[in-house]
Amino acid sequence: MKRKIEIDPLTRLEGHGKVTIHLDDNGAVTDARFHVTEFRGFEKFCEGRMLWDMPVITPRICGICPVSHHLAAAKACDDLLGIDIPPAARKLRELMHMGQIIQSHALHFFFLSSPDFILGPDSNPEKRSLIGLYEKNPDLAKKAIQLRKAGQTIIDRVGGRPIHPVTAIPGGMSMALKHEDRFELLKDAAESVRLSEIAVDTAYGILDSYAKKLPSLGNFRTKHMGMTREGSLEFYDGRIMIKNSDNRKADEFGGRDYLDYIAEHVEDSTWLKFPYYKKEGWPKGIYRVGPLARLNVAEHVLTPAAGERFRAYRSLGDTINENLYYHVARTIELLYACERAYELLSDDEIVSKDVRIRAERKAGEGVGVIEAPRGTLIHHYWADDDGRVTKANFIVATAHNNKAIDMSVKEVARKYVKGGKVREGMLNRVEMAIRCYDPCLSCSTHAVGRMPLEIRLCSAEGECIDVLRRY
Amino acid sequence: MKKLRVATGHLQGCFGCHMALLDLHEDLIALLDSIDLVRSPINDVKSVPKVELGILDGALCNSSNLALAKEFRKKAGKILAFGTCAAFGGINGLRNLFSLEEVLGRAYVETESTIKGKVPSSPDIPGMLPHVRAVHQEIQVDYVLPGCPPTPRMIKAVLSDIIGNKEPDIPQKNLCHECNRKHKEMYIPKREFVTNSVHAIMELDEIDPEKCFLEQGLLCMGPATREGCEARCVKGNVPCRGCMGPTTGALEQGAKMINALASILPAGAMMFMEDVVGVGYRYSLPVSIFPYREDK
Repeated sequence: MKRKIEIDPLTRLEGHGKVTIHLDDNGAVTDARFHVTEFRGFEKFCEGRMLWDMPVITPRICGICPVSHHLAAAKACDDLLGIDIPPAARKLRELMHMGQIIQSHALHFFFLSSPDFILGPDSNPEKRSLIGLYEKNPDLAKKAIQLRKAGQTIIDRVGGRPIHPVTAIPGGMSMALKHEDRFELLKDAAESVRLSEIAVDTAYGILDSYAKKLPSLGNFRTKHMGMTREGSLEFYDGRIMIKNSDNRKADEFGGRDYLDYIAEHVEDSTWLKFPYYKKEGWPKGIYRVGPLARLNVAEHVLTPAAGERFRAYRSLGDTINENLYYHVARTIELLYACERAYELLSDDEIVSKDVRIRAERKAGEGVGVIEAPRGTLIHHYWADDDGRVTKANFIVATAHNNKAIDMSVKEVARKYVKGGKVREGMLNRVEMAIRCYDPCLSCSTHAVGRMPLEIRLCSAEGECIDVLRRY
Repeated sequence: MKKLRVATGHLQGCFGCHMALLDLHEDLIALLDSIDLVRSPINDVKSVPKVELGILDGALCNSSNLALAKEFRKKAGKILAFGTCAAFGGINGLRNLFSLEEVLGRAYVETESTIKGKVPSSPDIPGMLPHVRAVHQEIQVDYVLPGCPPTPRMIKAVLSDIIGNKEPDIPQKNLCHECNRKHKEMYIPKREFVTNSVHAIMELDEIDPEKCFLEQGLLCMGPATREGCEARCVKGNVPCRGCMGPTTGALEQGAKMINALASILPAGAMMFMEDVVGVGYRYSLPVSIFPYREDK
């Protein structure tokens, strides 16, 4: 008798998700699926909007990485209109994006993931959150809040608002950075560098103490994809690099050509599509994105402290395929973002008044690609003579990891489901496996509380045999 | 002091409202001294504990959103519609301009990157509602806090009012009230103002940081939009796009904007040279008097 285990509701990915685990007659795991249960329709309702409004409309796709959508949209507009923005505008946009990386990575590492490790994956779920972290280690919790606040403050001062910023417009930026804000941010950035060094140490500490208890959160071979700039880690503007699981280069392309390299597959059971490397087809061409992948495809990290950490990290292997390392990679990127923000703020051009060039509406097609905290983000627009958007296409960061998430869940489920019985501890292990990727869903799980979970063991006829619940 | 029992739930949206709650930063810890956050954020769990206050963000887009909202209504003493999506349907509401078939067809079949697409239809995913709705259109709502997302200052004020058992007080007037930009030309009817006036922001030689956007020929939703957001966009030197939703008593936001333009200058036309619906109703289409396209 074939059976199915459902974890519903699992959590959210820019909304809601659940997991089903399929069992064979002997109760062994045959398959696992991650279902995204939310769909909103931006691909359609952006049609008819004005092109220059896209940087204001699209951040509403995600409240956790709105800056990435804001900037991908602005870049797509620049591309469509054929504009090279002034150097100061480019620096301001990159600075705003560093604020995004800092806030999002700090949020994920400290607020969402670290409670699993610092409080333990089997600790009382009621306490397994920032609130519990605050009770156990108030000093660390305060540092976490401070670091995230530093990121949000950069976005606020450069982007006009901390969530859904507005200042990146086609042709550059709507305003220059104020001198007084520059010095305030510079002071914060120096402190953030120090705090993020602590984050890297904490991540390594976690890895050491969990290496035995938690052997794997998904260790499999896939391609890795991320942006690089002359081989270095890059978030704002560069070429997209794809490497094989043994670190050999598979391909490289500019954002404008993404349709030749990436295609999307649709499955019946989830609203989230499955992008893959087009030349190898589905499902052979799957790859991972995000911190783990970015540090696999990069050859250098150009800031001093993060560069040193990167070399030590990469000495562990040519390509790191174990998902647990997502956490370490994320903190190294956090350190990079703080250092890079400091560098950008130290450059006098950051307060230049020359932040935009005038542009006129025209018909055309444009692509904007950026490395969002969770991976490569692609916006593609077509516009008519009036500047009206006629078509829009988006490939969001978390989608690239869609199949890899399924694979992780399957791997973990195999360890925790034996003979059709679910072992205690599976609920959170499945969550942890998913949480590595930091899909937006993790925000729901620990942000300010706990994630309710229910695993259902059902017969093929849908009859409920066993329920494991955690509220 | 007895803590207020609170649950928060996320319907459909970007999660930015919950992020705005985290933007209380250090004050978040102080807030947790006066509330007991028994569950947050919740997804489509069948059972919600009894609470005194249920906070819902996001709009109603699919069957599980609707089920969660109804469950919250049963279990919570009071319901706060938190943020513009909950209050007015928000940006999700723009989907109501199209049929569900068109929206799904574009995303899963027509998009240029999709190969051999099909519209997902498994019972493992909840069905879409034909039209996006605001929370109060399906359940009774006790308090409303608009904003995309609401500012931390407003969140603090409204929550402390509710904790203190007071009716929350949200600003009533329009954004022009909060905006410090200067205007004088718009009161003088002259033909040039109309003909030279409609621009995209990128087409201006200079974006004047002091002067009213309408006078610079940019469509700004300030006159039809509720104040309280601290005018962050206009301070960021871009025009308002109406994310706080309509003011108290306004029948609807888009028509109010056309009305405002028509009364301050002979340029109701401004609206029609741009994207009338997509700007005027960007955040409030589900609560307008034309909430969705009638399918043939």
